[in-house]
Amino acid sequence: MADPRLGNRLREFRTQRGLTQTQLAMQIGVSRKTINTVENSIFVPSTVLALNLAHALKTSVEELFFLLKN
Amino acid sequence: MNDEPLTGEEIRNWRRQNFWRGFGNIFWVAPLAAVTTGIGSKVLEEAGVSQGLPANVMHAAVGPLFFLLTINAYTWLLYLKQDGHEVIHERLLRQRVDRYQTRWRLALIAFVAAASWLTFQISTQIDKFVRDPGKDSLPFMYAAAMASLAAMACQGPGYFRPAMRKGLNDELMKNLRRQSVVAGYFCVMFLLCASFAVILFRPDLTVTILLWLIFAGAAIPLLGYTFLDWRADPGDG
Repeated sequence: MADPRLGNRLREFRTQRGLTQTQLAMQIGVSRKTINTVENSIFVPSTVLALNLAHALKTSVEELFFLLKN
Repeated sequence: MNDEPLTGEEIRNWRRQNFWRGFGNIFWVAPLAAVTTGIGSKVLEEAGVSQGLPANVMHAAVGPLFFLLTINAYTWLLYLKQDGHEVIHERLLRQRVDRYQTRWRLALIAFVAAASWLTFQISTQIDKFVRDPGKDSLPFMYAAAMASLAAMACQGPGYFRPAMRKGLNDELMKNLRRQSVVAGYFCVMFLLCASFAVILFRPDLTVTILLWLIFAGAAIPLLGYTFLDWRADPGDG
């Protein structure tokens, strides 16, 4: 489920937009736990969810998710 | 997504519908539980496993009916009191999805606890029933478990309704379920191999071991799921 090669800036973008996990979850139609696990790199989201997250936070998937070096 | 709050009239209509749905459930689930119990006991009797199980369908029907009526009435009241309209209003459901997921987790733990008690009862008393078929408390244990299952399946706080399931089953939940089923499969395979070794030396324990294997097959994935779900729970709101 978790992938150590994948990093994300979801929390950073979310707080910049002034959203709570619940508010973001409601915007894209998932549970708060899903947002929480993505932020903490416990869960790797599908492409559709990643696109939805990027769209809700008005950014791109590449900005939101990135590959960690080594 | 429709963000408008529900009107009082819509909520009243929903509660009215819910009343008739809950009321109707009693009439199809109670006979179903009774018939299933009767058939189950008859099959066991024919197989010579136990002659102490319910002797006739009436006997088998009393337990499920009583428990079902009680539990169904309770869950229906609980539903009516606070949860009725979430299932038709996506936004409200989404706002309260955390609470529903936590409740669902508790329901699963309760189910595993009830199943373990039932397995214990059957595995420890089955010999006694074969020897002394006149004394039986097992049918009532059986009935209680049947009724709990039926109540959970038909009513509960609406967890099996499509609108509710759609709200609860997001991507993460499906992933957790997949993980727990895979983990459960490997655990049960290991237990199966270990059981085979034990049965080779103690064939008299075969029935007991099989009962516990069936229990493990259900309990391990469910407990695995509740653990994973609990682990994903904390957050900053």
